[in-house]
Amino acid sequence: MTMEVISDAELIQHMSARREEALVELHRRYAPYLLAVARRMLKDSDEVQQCVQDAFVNAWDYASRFDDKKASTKTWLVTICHRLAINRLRGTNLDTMPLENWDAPERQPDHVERIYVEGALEKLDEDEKELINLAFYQGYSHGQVAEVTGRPLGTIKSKLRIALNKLKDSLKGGEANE
Amino acid sequence: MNNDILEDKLLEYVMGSLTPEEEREIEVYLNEHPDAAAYVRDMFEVMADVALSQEPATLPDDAEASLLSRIRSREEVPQEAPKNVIRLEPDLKINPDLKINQEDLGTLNKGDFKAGADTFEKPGKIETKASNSRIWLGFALAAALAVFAYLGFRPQVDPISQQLSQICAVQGTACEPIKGDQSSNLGTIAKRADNSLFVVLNEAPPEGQVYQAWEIKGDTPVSLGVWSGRVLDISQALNADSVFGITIEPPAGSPQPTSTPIVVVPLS
Repeated sequence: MTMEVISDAELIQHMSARREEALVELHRRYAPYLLAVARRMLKDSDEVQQCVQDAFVNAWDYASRFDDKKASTKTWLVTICHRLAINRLRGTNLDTMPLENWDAPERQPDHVERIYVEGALEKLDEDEKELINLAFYQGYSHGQVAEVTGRPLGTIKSKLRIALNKLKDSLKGGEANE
Repeated sequence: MNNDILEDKLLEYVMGSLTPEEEREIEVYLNEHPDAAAYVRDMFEVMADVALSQEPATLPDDAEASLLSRIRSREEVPQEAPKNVIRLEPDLKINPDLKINQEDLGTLNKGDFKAGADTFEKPGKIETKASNSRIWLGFALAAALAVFAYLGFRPQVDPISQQLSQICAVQGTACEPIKGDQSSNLGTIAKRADNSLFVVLNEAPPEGQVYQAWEIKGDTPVSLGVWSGRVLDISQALNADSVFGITIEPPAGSPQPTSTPIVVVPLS
């Protein structure tokens, strides 16, 4: 069977049957994106590569437990990689990444889906983008975001809630309730 | 306390910043409240979309080979646990002040998830990074366990998966996913070189019933035995021209199949 033409979910099924070519194809499809996510979260390049490889090893080990009713393959992979990166961040030092290094996503104009997401991100103000950076890419709790920004916890919570719901409404349909 | 606070907890759950105890409480809540579960699933999808909107990075030339090498080296050493399995810190401590109010969990309804102002301030000191790195590590690892469990990911040693990996790694063994209705994945069948089978189903049989395996030669099903778990190890060599099937039967099994087979696999 040619793995290039089958769906992500079918690749996971083949991985659960221990077919390496399915893992290779999933790696080909998603590793460059997970590498970009890990790079944004972690400073050390060796750690970045190790984190991405760990994500695929975990996907290989637990492919038989994947439930596509609970998450899409891409969400499953991103979540694994994100949590592994957070583990590394918290296991080392949460101060490793200075605020000015939290750059915005780069443009990728030839990809419709990415343009769509960029459009959703553009609806956020700079303050909201920074809060999402802190909470998602740096793994900060609401309390820690309040601590590093010097703003009240209640304000952080409400702003983050509004920002994430704006994103959800943009990407999943409906109007943001502000 | 209001539903904004609960929504904040769900968002922290998605972001991975809750304590293990809070994660468990959210898991219980999500299992009982499909609206909240749908909201959380949407938020996981949204954050995945955001993460994947970045410019893809260039992989090192040896990334694929390195991954395969790691997979193969682990499977050649069956007794060795996966090197990247996430483990809880043995001395993990949970802050008892960070519990979720069960009354708030109980008041969440459909339509409650919307943006709005909230001035809730949690009393108490924010834990500092320098003094609590070990506890934070424990929290992070436990949080990964809970969230991954919700998404269908179990970061723990699964002996059945390990056994299946070892069997599939043997030369001459063919392993394939077992597909059910609408291409759902029911499990995996490993056909060994000697035509014996090792079958792993995703679910155990319903309570009070068993899986019964059959070798169907022509029109005649011949019982291969009954299994109460999700692993069916059929050590006898089957006829290459026969069909393998599994039905759900009463505890002692049946002389002939009494239900529609959940698995039918031609062995040719």
